[in-house]
Order: sequence, then C-alpha cells, then structure tokens
Amino acid sequence: MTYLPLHIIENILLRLPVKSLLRLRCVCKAWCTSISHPQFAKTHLQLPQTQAKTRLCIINLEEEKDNPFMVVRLSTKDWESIGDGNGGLLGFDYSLCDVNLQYPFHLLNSCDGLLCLVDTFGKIVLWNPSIRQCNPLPPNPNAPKYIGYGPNLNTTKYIWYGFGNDSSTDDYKIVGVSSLGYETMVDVFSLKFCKWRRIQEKHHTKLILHWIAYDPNEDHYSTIVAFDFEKEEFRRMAFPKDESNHVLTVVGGCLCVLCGKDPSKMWVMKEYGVETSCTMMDSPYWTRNHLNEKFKCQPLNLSWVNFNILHHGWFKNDANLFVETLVSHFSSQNG
Amino acid sequence: MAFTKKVTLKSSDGELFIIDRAVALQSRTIQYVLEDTNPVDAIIPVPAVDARTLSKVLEYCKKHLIDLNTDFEDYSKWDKDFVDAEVWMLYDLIMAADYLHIPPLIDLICDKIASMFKGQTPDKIREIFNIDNDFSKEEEEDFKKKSGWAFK
Repeated sequence: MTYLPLHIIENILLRLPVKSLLRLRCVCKAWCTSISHPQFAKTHLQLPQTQAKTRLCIINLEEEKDNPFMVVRLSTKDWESIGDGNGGLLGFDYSLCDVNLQYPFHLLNSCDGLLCLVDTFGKIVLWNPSIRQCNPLPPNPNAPKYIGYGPNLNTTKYIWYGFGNDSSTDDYKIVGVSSLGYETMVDVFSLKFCKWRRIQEKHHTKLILHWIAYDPNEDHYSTIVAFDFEKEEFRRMAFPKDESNHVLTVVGGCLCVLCGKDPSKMWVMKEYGVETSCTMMDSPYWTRNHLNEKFKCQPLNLSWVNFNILHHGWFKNDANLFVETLVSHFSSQNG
Repeated sequence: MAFTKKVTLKSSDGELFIIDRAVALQSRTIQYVLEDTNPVDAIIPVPAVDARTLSKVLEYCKKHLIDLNTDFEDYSKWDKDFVDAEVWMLYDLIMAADYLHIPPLIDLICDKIASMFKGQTPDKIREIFNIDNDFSKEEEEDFKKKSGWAFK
C-alpha cells in the first residue's frame, strides 16, 4: 500500500482531539513533525470542530494533605448546561501540583487553550492543561517592589495584569498596569520574545484595556472605559445601563458585565463596541459556590481620568471558557 | 456556449464512464476542465484513478446529486455505509477524492479514518495502516516518559 501524501494525513489528524494527537506523535517521524509544528496547532485551534468543544472551566486552589503548596485543579463543564442547576460538571480532569501558586489567585483570561493565572505575590503562570504544559513566566522587573498583584487596602500602589492574543504579531501578551500613587506605568510581556518591556509614550500597539468606571455625573450608573494604546486615549463604551454594574470580565472573548440586580446573570457584548449586540446570559460565576459574593470594588487611582475605576476582588476559584488546544508556549518562543 | 448533458470520463485502466454533466460537476477538477475547454463529446481522462475506485466515487456523486431533498438522517446513514470499507479501499478513495477535488467526499473519508485512529495505540495504527516505525526504542521510551498520561 502506498503512503498517503502529507496534506491528506494532516487533514485526517486535524480532526482528532489533543490527547490522541499527543499519542500519535510517536507513530512515525513525519507525523511527529506535522503535529508538533506551531502552524498545525494554530490550524487545529481555529477549526469549527475544535471551537465547538468550548467548555466552561472552573479553577480551584485546594489544600492537600502533606503538601505545603496549594493544588491547582481544573474542572470543565459544557457551556450549554450552565444555568441548569447542578448538571453538567464533568469532574476534575486535570490537576497540577508543582506550580507553586499561592492563594488568592486570579485567572486573568483563557485564550486559545492557554490559561493565565496570577497570584497575590505577582507570580504569573501560563498553563495549557490539554498538553499538561505549565510554566511560571519571568517576573516583571518593573513591577513595583513589595506590592503584590491587585489592590492593597493600605496603599495606593498596585499592579493589574491582562492576558490575550495579539493577532497582528501572532503573539500572546501580558499587560501589566502598575500604579505608584499618581504615576501609572504599563509593561508588556511578549511570549514570542519571552521578555518584559515598558511601553513608551509613543509606542503603538493594538491593545485595549477596559475598566468599569463609576461616573458621579450620570446618576451613579457605572460605565465601561476603554484605553486604546494605539490612539493613547480613553473612551467610554456604550453598554446597557444596569444599576451597580461592577464586575467586568472577558468570557469566551466577549466583554461581559455581571448584573448588579441579579448576580446569576450577566450582560455579554457579543460584537465588540456594539451596544445593541449586548445580550443577557447566565453567568458562569454563579454556578459554583456563589463566587460573585466575593466580588468587591476598589478604586484605581488614575489621576488623569475623571473616573473612579472599579475592580473585583479575589477568588479561591475562578472561571472562564476553555477549549482544548495544542498551543505551546515553548514553540511560540522559538517561532 | 453549447453544454453537453453527458460527460465521458476515462479511468487510468481505460474504462469509459458516461455520466450526467451535473454528476461530473461535483468534482472541481473536472469542473475546471469543462470550463476551460468545454469539450463537446470529448473524453476526459482521469489518469490517477482506476475503474474500480472511479465507479465508487461516481456512485457517491450520483447519490449526493439525486438525494439533495432527502432528509439528513437518511443521508448520513448512506454515507456511513459508503465508508464502511476496507482500509485499502479508503486509501484509494481518499486519493481519488483528493485528485478529483470533491470536498464533501474528502471530509467524509477523513472523518472515517480519523475515527479509526481515535483511541488506538501507535503500534496498532502502524499495523492497520502499514506505516514503518522510524523511531528508535529510546526515542519511543522518551515519548512515554514525557507524556505517558496521553497513552492511558
């Protein structure tokens, strides 16, 4: 029997789940080369059949007997079954012991199967549970000393991070906004170059950061403020008015705001920047242990904006949408 | 432009297949040939596909043309039976579908072969699909050491 051409083999392999692919790497060298190539991972993740398997993931930090460190656990749940009470939890699929994360932590975002976690000491961990690859990133050298991630009630100094994909450079980036009293600085970590750098005033990038802000001139309704790095300006985003909206998050790539009145619901902006695309959906944060009871607001001191910017607090667990991918943060560095 | 209603295909082993033009148009390769040359009563050679495989491919094209109004379930059952074939036949079919460029048939066979890969050990896959193992024992052990969980 003749061998099938490589493009047909790849067409077949792309239809398989991640776990099967990891196993099939050792069928022969040609298959291994194909499956390990970053472009294969990219094509695989963009396929509708991969995206269709998007699930809710819930991350827990748990204490374990005879283990001085917390154990990070990930469980997944079908997105469709959210809101139907207790159904759909698929159980603990993955657990990880050797990443020395401390409680409390925050799941910054889930992007292309990569989960970005940051703990209260500012340690950032990138994790692809599907291929069981997990690594702490180099610490941000510009992070203010002696202050952890997130708000600190006793000081006006703190740092916030965001994680996402920069499609213009085919890279994954982490953005850190640190505040030292009246000064605000922005540092960006590029996975491709495995390096932190401080964004200069004139630096152009397509990143946009979002905050929930509270505007005293608008009957105490909160609003979303976006900072566009390219244009270097703040702008207000239209979002449905809802009393005491104060939790902003990204779920499944969409901006979401948890509703003040009914915390089991959230507004999802399905098309970025389009107010009319906002739809009321069930909130994933409500499904486990009433997570949103722990949401808190903290002011972010950006003196040059006329808004009080609000954030949410800390969790022992966190949730987002998640899809199984082969995306590796090592191959990205070499690519 | 004069359209012929029938098209004649010639397999690699010389057999002639006279089929409706609409059936032949499901192959993009043949569609391009017809658009470019518009051969009247001419024979289109299909040098990469033998008669046995070509007749099977044409069976698929005819079914999918006639039964466009059949509901989805009937359709998928027919497809399932169609690819319930020996591995060598699937190989010949995928090569033919690729050469003739019939995307739904490519998808159907790729899905079938992928389902045969699922849950199998690398050893078993090499055996079924007659693939040489070009890894050394050490390299294979290394795989199992690094990602042994994927083999469970």
